[in-house]
Amino acid sequence: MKPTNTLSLWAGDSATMLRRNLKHMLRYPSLTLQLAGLPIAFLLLFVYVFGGTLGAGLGGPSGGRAAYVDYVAPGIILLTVASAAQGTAISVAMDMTEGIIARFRTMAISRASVLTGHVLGSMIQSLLSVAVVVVALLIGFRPTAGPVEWVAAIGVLAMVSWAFTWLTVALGLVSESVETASTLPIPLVFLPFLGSGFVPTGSCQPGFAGSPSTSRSLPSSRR
Amino acid sequence: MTEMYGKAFERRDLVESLGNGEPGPYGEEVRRENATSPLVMDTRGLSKSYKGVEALKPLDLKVPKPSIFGFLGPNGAGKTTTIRMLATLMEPDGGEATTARFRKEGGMTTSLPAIAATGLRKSFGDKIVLDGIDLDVAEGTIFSLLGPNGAGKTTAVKVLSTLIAADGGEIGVAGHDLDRDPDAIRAAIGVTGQFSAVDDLLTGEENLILMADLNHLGRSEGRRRAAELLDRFDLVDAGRKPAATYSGGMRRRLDLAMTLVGSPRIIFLDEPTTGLDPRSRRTMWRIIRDLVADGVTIFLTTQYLEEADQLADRIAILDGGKLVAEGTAEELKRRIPGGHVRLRFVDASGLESAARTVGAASLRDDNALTLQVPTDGSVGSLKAVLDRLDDESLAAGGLSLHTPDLDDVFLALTGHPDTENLDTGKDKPQ
Repeated sequence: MKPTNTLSLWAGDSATMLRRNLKHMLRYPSLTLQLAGLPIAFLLLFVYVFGGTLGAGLGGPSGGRAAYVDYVAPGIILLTVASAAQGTAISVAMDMTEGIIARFRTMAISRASVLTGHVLGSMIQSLLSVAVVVVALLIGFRPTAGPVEWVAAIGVLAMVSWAFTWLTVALGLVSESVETASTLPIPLVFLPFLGSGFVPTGSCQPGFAGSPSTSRSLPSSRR
Repeated sequence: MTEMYGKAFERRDLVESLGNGEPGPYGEEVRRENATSPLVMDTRGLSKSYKGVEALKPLDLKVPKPSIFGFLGPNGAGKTTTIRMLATLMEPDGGEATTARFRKEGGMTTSLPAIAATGLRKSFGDKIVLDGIDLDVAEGTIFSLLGPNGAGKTTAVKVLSTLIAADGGEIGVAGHDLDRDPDAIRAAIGVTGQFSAVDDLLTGEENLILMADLNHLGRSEGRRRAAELLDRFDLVDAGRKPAATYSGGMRRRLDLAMTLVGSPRIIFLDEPTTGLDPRSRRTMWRIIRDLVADGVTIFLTTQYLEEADQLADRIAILDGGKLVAEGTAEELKRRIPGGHVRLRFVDASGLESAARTVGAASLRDDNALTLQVPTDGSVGSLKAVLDRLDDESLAAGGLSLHTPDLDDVFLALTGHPDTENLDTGKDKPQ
């Protein structure tokens, strides 16, 4: 029954750890809800509070709030992924304060599986919280992407999530406390604000952000 | 020590040396067909000389699977020398010998130690926590490491359970070298640390199934084992509740149950009853005793002397990073003279007369109006003291008998000021 090679040991143990992390999400849903709620709040805030003005500044043919929903939705989705990654740092740091990690370390299991479980669990969590798209659709987001572009978008999001999650796993590991772990990844959440996520970079201070982006369709709006 | 845990004692050899279907020393069903080595004993070029006299010329000896191997020769042919080397009692001059993990000791065959350490050292920064300690824990026994807070007990457990690396020393656990094969050790041990190692968000049952999965028991076997352990540890009713809702005693039981899922042969228990109420403590003791009955080796650290006295086959006292004493509870108590009768008097004159009557060896306390008379704890010696008082028509208000216990040993050996008083014991005439 016991796997003989390192790879199958890693895969088996990682699956076990993933199950553990998914159960954690079910048992402790407030963290998941909080992480998913933040982007929705941002979406509603930007569309309904700032949307009229910001939309007018886009200079598109339709203008106004409706145009801004289309513009800001991809930025919000990226914010969602960053926000979910923040949750990873918290859950890793929480785990490290528990005695159970010491127990794992005295067991003949794949050492990497603890972290792999966290990363996979967190990716599932962040892809689920991309359900913020549904809210965006409800309030008027009308993406022009076709099926292939959607698949590509999901792929890019998965890769971003993978990268962010490992980064936040590292942040979670180096944090001395859960509080630190929840603070350290916050800059990630603000990254979309510095790019073309919320306003065209052309409207920012010169030299502050990258090259202007005018694209508004989902798959191609990030660079 | 390296030799002992090297190639010479692979577990398959041990399995091989036993019959088919019988429980082995690890409690498992022994299956001969799984064994990969056909030989129980195997020597290549084994040789030995005593002071230049050749006792054994290079010898190749092959003893196959469980068999009776006749080894004939005249006196002085080297039979005993060969056996001594096979039994690891003697180092050969040349060649090598492979033997199943048994050795001869004092005419009895005993198994090799479950835990053996020589010169174990560990420091954190410039603070030396373990300063070259030697440990030898026989299989199927309870070994207790006793010491005051901060003595290094937990550090010792962490090193032996592969959690942190030692700075020096030869360490073997379950027949494997700690440096070379930590994973083999991890597969053989279970650790229940000082701080609870349960997953609070999972239920008791899920915690156990998590352990079963990580031990690769398989789905149905894992569930069966979880149910069995919930039952054994009286957690059936709580099995479906999150561990966060458990009481202290329940958490400790779940913690230990999780350790047992993988059927470890050596269990490290780091202060398993600290913070438990007396009833939970006794429950834990019963569980620990049952484990040893199954042949498991237990390495127990505790700061409760009574616990070591109750449970341990051997006790080592750790203080300031060194082992200051080691032995059975009885042996340790014998080292410390401390038995006495404490006589209580109603007034100072009674105390005064009694002190004169029973002699100089007694220790009087004028404030408490008590007199401590050394005794060996026997009825005879107690009677002698009372008879002497009787002869002088002196009446003690009350008496209590104090036999030396581990407290005395502990306090005496870990450098507390009571030592002077304790020294007034048995050595003096009664």
